[in-house]
Amino acid sequence: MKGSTLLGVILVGTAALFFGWSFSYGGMAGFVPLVLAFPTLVLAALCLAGERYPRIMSAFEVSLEDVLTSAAGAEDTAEAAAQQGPRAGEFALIVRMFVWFTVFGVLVFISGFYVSTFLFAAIFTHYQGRIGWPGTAFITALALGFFYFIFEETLAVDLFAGVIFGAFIPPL
Amino acid sequence: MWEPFLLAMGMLSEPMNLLVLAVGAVSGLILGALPGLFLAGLTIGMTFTFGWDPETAMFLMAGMMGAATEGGSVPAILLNIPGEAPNAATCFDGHPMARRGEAGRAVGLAAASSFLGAVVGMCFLMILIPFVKIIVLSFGPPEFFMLVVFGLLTVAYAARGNMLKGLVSAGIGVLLSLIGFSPVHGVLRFNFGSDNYLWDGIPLVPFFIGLFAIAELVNHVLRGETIAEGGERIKVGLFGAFRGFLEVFHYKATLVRSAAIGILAGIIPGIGGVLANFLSYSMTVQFSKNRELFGTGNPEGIIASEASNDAKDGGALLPTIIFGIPGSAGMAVLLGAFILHGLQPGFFFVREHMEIVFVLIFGFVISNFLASLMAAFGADILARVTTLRVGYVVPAAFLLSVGGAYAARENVWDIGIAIAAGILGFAFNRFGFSLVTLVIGFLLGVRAELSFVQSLQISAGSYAIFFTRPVTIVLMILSILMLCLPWLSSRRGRASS
Repeated sequence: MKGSTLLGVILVGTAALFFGWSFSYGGMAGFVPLVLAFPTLVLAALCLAGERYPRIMSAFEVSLEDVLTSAAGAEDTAEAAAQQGPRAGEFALIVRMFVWFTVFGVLVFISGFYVSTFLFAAIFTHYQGRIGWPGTAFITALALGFFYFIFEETLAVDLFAGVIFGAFIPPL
Repeated sequence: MWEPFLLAMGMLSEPMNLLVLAVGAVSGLILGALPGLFLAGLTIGMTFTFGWDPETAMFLMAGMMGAATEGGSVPAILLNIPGEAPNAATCFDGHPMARRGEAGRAVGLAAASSFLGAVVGMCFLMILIPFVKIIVLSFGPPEFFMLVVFGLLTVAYAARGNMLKGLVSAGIGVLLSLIGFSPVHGVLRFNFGSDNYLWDGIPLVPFFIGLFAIAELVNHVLRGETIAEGGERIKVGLFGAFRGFLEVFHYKATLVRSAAIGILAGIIPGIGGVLANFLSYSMTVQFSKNRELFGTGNPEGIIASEASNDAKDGGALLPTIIFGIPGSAGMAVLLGAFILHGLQPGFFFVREHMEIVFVLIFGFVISNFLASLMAAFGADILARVTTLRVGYVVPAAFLLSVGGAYAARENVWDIGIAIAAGILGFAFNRFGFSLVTLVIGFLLGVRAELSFVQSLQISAGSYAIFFTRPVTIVLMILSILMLCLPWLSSRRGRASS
């Protein structure tokens, strides 16, 4: 499945979820979301259908910005390229990046900010960022210093210590 | 009028506020020079203001926002790479001028145009606010509801790409804003089984950080080794910069016309700096007697681009402050900062917190002044910043983003929201869905619902209230016209072909 199709399915699903859920609230509490979710659902479904039938999308290919920028003779190729979807090999990199970020989030939960920042900064900078060890050491020290001096000392933020160190988990 | 003006002057004279403004200007200048990183930096900057006085926070926001477009002009001139999208037209004449050995002159012209454009924009805002206050008095809940509908449609239409995708983004943004406890109805809605965490809805700060910062970092990893690639770097001469600074005054008409276009483009939600920039450039070409000189290093081309993209802030602040309707992603983050500090834009905001409006005005003007000086005399260093390796920037910026997302509420689940929003933001960017409309829908959804319910309470449940008041009728007609634009446009296209 193409990435844009997957996003279309997620958006239709989200709008449908809100639409169906709205019926469980009485009066205006349910009516307003229902009124909003219905057109969103229809439009998202049109977007999804447009993946298969491009004529649907082309009927809405109108943008004031596009009209005026093309009139002025400018083309933002970078942005246009960014909207075309992943090129070969990029998908793996995108997934890898979000895996890095998610692993960091999980690490913070388990071991707290300092341990996870040290591990993330050192491993990510060296292996993903392809920076040498001196540069990696600099970024790691900078990140740890920032967390300590700016967040903890200056802004008086109580940094999460991690569940293995007995930190309080806020209720969901 | 004078009391808040003097109050804001007093705040400006405090050393702490001046320091914050200067820090904001420096960071805005650097972030503006780094393509794609300004919004990420602005959102992270917003998180640091948590717990500060609102006015100090606004000095930081104004400092960053005011300096960004000036920062973006330097790589546009020296490297032919616009730091910010609204600097794109600066490349047309700025870079050719630099290539023929007049880089200093081009940077000086851009610096002076930016500063003067910002001054004109902010003067316009100061003049117009008393009049707009009167107009706002005629706005009740039905008018505000229709204005939000019209604003969202305008943003969806104006945003780059497909209008259908823009509308879906707005709808999803509004739906996401309904999550949590509704004080209007007294029920907890769409909470996904969370009775505590989602009580106040999706937290604003981690949501914004994910959408603007984390998503953009992934884009940078995909783009390459350095923040801005390509382009030969050209040295800037200080004498040339000074000469360019003074030369702007030879082109007063171009400066005023470009600033006026910038202001008008700023007022209309969604139009923003990119359009102001190109519109002003093409108008200057139309008005010029020497059209053939454009694109070869014509000073008027630089002035047209830079004066308009800085003047637009004055126009864009107007709907943000008066109606709470931001017209761009930057203004949406500013609106987020208002909400973070308990400030609710609208008529009461202007009546009760006029000093904050002046703080923003002073902040923008002084930040532009500082940025212009720094850009003119430190352009070489600024151009070098753009060659920073992504391997250094991404981990540092990501850790800062996560720290900022957590710091606002000290809730570890906020990190999860930031990462999830990062995935959403990346997917939206990638497949042409407008992040600006998503964010504006998210910010305005609850207020629109409140206005809708209040309108029905006023009319004892009759929907006729939306069809019988002059302002709502006008806004409704405009909204319908906006919806018909794709159809009208395709008809025109068929006719012309």
